[in-house]
Amino acid sequence: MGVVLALIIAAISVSVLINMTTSAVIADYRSRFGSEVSLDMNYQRAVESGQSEAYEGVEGVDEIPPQKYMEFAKSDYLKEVQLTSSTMIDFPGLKALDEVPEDDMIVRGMLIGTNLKTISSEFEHGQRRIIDGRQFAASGEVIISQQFAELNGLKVGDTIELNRGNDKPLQKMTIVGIYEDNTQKDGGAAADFMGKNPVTNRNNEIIGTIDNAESVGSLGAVSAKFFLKDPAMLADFTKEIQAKGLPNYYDVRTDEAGFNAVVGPVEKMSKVTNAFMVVVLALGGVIVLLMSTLAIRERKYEIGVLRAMGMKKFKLAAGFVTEMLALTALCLVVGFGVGAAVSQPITNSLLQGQIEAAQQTAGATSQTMEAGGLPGAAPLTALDKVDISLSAGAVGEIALMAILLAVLASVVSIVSVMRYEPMEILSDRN
Amino acid sequence: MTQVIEEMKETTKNVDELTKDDAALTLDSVTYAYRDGKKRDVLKNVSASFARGKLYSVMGKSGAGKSTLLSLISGLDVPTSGTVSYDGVDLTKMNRDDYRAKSIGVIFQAYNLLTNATVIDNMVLSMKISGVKGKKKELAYELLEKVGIDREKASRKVLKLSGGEQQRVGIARALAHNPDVVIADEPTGNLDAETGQQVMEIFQKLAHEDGKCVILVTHSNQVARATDETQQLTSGRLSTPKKNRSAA
Ligand SMILES: Nc1ncnc2c1ncn2[C@@H]1O[C@H](COP(=O)(O)OP(=O)(O)OP(=O)(O)O)[C@@H](O)[C@H]1O
Ligand SMILES: [Mg+2]
Repeated sequence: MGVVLALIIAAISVSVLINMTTSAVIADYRSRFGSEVSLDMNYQRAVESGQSEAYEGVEGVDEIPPQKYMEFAKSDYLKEVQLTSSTMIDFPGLKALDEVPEDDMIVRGMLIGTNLKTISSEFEHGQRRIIDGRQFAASGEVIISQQFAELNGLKVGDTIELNRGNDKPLQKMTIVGIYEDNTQKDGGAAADFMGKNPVTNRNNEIIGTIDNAESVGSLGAVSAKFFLKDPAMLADFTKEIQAKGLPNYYDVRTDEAGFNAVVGPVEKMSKVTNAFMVVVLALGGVIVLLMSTLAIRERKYEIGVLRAMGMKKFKLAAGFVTEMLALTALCLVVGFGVGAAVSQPITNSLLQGQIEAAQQTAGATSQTMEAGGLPGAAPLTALDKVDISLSAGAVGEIALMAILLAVLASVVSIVSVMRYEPMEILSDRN
Repeated sequence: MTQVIEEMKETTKNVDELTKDDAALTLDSVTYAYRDGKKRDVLKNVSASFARGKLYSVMGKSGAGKSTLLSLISGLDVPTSGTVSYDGVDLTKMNRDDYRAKSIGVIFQAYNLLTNATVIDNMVLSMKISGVKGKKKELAYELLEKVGIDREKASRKVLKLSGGEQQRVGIARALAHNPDVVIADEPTGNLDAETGQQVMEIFQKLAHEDGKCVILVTHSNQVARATDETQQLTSGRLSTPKKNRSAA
């Protein structure tokens, strides 16, 4: 009885621990993905509403003026805004990578303006890496690529002058750091189909604050990421920015697909363990019921003898219940220990199975998909690791279920004690 | 005290009822059938009374209903009709757990000991249930000694005793809480003549010296002759008591 009970509790522990952890993970990602708002033009609706020039959007011309983004950013519904501006620039007197000398280009590079949070994710994910100096921190500070620096013999502390081409006023910026770009070491994906172009070469990007972009006179193309304080605020936020001038042929959405790509396997696993828990609990209940019925039947004689000696029913029942609780407590410790020990490996293999299943059904693309926003931003990889943690809540829930089983077993013994008449038990044996 | 007895006598209407009130146990028109569907009356209209200070024997063929009668007397079961009273109180109207625990000591035909527990544990457990105060172990050893179970045997599991030894443990256990009424189902059935004799002496002493009401069920004429009164149970009916010469 004890061993079986311990096993049942172990199985319950495993499923509760996995469930608790995964639901926490899911909730965490839900709030992260659920809070990220994207503004996407709905071309069909744009055309329907008579916006013929909406087709230009296909070409990548942003219909929303940069200033609007700045306006949208000032909303009480947002907890965070990530803004990135990309202004085409030139740096007279310096060479650009992928430059074709005979092409007389007006601009040969990009000035990226950003708040640090945006760019830091690229650095965190290893797409870019500071190899000299430091990250920019104030307006007037920029970081440049290693290749660009080598090409022009620039080093940390040097200043460079930028403008928007065509003899526009020059702005002085100080190089505070040199980065290495890992995404375009050999040309990069963009260069492959667009042809070599200095403007699209990430190594020609000069990165600094949004203020820098404003100082050269244009924010250029602005991409913005808005993060809601609460996913439920989406509708209110949509209303607000539409009032501020967002055309109604823009979809305001949260990133459901991204969420699914990352958390989908975890969510599926959570469903599996949930079902498992229900089965274990139901099966465990039946087993405990059966076992305690058998156990009490074996002890029927004992009940008869004790009752014949004048022991009161409730005292006898209390004795059995106490015994049952003690046994459950012991099994809880053992079962929980075993469950806690095996739940991490079980999680890993379950999750691996779900990820493989996801890959098979949707092809490799579903596991890795491009996130919007920055060019070459972190690809979304399905979450392949869930660290099982022992929360007080999980322990409580497991204990509760163990107690539930103990109660079930106790009910059996109480009912038996109440039902059996000592005379019947003893004469049965005679 | 004497005043109370005087008052009791005053309120008593006739001699016949007086003797009834003096009886520790009274059976009044007891009929009993096992609830197994057959509805056959095992006991039919049995009336009897058993007084303190006397040793009774009940005889009868196997299946006559002797053990059934004892189970009604011991409050393990209740009659289909009629009443079993202890000190004038209907057993069905009292807490029969307390009655079994404190007032009556039963020696079962099948001993009904906890076979996986030691002898001494059986004794102490029974005493605990009965609420015996004081040094239970010492008292238990003393009682076991009287029925011929030494300390070594007392520390053994009941399983590891012979039938006769188990029977004697059953006797000791029944007496452990100093009950008012002692009933015994074939208490000497598994004992040799000599041990049987010793046990009978214990019962006689219980009745005649300690003033208990002792009822034995037996197949043995020899045992019956050593009691004060013998009644025959024949197909559910109890004969009128016959006084035994040796006891008279
Ligand atoms: N639990 C029971 N259910 C149904 N019938 C029973 C039960 N116990 C005993 N009987 C029946 O009741 C009758 C009386 O049984 P009881 O045990 O009282 O006999 P007894 O006089 O003690 O016999 P023995 O001398 O063999 O011990 C028997 O016919 C027996 O079959
Ligand atoms: Mg019998």
